[in-house]
Amino acid sequence: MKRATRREMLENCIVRGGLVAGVSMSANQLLAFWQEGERNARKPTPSEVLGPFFKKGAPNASVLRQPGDPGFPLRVSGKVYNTRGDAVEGARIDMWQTNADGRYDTVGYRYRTKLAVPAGVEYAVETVMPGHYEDRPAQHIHYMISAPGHKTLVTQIYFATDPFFEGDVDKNYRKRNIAENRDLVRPVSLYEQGVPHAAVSFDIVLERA
Amino acid sequence: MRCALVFLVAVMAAAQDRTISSDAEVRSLAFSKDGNTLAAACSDGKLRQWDVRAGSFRKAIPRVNEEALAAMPSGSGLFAVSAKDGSIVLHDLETGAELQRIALAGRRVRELAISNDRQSLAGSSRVAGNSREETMRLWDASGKERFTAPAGIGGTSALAISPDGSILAAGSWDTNLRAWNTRNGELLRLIEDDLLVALFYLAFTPDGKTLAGGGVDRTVYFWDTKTWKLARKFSGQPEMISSLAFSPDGKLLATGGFNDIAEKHPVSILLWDVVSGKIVRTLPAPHMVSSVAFSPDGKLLAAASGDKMVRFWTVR
Repeated sequence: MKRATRREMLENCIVRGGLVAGVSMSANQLLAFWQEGERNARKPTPSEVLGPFFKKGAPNASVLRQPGDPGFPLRVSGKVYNTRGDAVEGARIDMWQTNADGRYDTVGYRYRTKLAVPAGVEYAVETVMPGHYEDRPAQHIHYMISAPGHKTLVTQIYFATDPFFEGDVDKNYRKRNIAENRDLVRPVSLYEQGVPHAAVSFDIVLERA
Repeated sequence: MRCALVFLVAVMAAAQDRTISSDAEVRSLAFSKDGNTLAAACSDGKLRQWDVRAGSFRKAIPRVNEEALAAMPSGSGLFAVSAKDGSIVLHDLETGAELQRIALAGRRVRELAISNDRQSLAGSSRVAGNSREETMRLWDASGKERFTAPAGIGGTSALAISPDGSILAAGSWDTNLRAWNTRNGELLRLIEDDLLVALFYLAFTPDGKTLAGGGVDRTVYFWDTKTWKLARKFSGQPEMISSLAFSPDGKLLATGGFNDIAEKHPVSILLWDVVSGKIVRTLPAPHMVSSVAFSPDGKLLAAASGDKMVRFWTVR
C-alpha cells in the first residue's frame, strides 16, 4: 500500500473532520506538519515554448551520446516533484536537442529520448552540449514532462557557460527573447571521467491537474 | 548536347516570370476575387497592394499595429489582425477599411483563419497560467463567440477552415491534428497517430473533400474529410514544408520549403500534379517560403519568401 505523505494525512484529517475532532494530533503536531509542508513546498518549473522540432515516439534511452559523436560530453540529471515537494509517480520525460552542430534529427531519434521515471528516482541522460543554430542562438534542451494527475509541463534548459550569455546570465538571459526565466539558465559543473565532462542538475516541479 | 539542351529548357522553365518589389519583407499573400489585385501583409505592419497585370504599386494600408498577425484567405475578401491590445480586427482586403473589432479578454490570439463565407473566424490562444495548453476559439459573423475547445499543447502550428465553412482544422506543435464542426464545436476527429512531427501549414482542397498538410518531415499528407483516414502522402520536397496552396480547380498543389538550418537559406517551391502525385515544376526561392497563392484563374502562382519581393510564375 502506498504510504501517505504527511501533507496528504493532514488533508485527510481536514476532509474527515479529524481536525475538528482533534483526536489524532495535538496542536503542536499539526503545526509541525504544516511547517514541514511549507518547507517542502516547491515553485512550479517555469514553462517555455515547445518549438517546432518535437517528435513523437522517442525511445526510452538514457545514453544519447554515441561513441565518436562530436561535442562536449554532458550529463543532465534531476528528480521530478510536485509543488508539495512530493516525488511524482509515473513521470514521462521527453527530451530533445540538437547535436553539437546545431542540427535536430527529424528523420530518426538521435538526441531524443522519452524517459520513464519512477517516483523518487533520479533521471539522468548522457548527451553532448547542444550546438548553436542561426534561428535560436543559445544552446538549449527541450523538455515535455507528463505524469498522471499533473499538468503537462513544456520547458527548456539553457547553460550558464554558453558564450551567448557573455559571462553575465543575469544581464543577458532575455537577450533576443531567448530565455523567458532566469531559473532555466542552469549552472554547469565540470568533472573528469577519463575526459572532461559537463554536468547540469535540473529538478522538475509539476503542478497538480 | 541533348542533356545540356534539356537542362537549359528546365532552367528557363524554372525562371520566374516576374517580380514585384516591396518596401518591406513580404509575409503572406492573397489575390483579390477578380484576380486584378495582389495583397501582401508585410513585416512593417502594412498591407500593400499591386496591380497584377501591370505589376505596379497601388497603395499601402497601415494596420492597427506593427506586430499584428494576419490571415488573408482570398475567398473571404477580408484580412484579420490580432492586435497587441488583444482585440481582433477585420479589414476589407481591397479598401483596408476596418469592418469589425472583436474585443477579447485573456491572452492574445495567434494563428487566425476566416471562412470564405465570412461566417466564421477562428483563432487560438494560450490558456492562463504556466501551462502551454492552447484553446481554440471560433466567432460568428457578429463577433459572438460560438465555441471554445482544447487545442493541444504548445500552441497552434497550422489552421484552416474548409471552403464551405463547415470544418475547422488545426495542427498543434505537439503534432496532433484536430477537426471541429464550426457550427457547434463538435470535435470531429483527433488525429494522434498519423504524424510524428508538426505541421507548418494546412489547406483544404477547393472541393473540401481533402485536408492537406505539410511540415517538418517534408511530406504532404492528405486526409479524407469524411472518414478522417490518411488517404495519400507526397514525398519529394527537399526541405521542410512551410506553406501550401491548391489551384482553384484543385489540379495543382504548390508547396514552399523551409530549410531546417535557418529561415535565410535557399529553398524550393514545388508544383505537384494532384492526381498523379508527380512534381511538375521546381521553382527557386531565396529563403523560407511563408506564403504561396494561385490567382483565381489558376494561371499565376505568387510566392513570398522572406525578402522584399513577390515572385510570380505562369503555371498554365
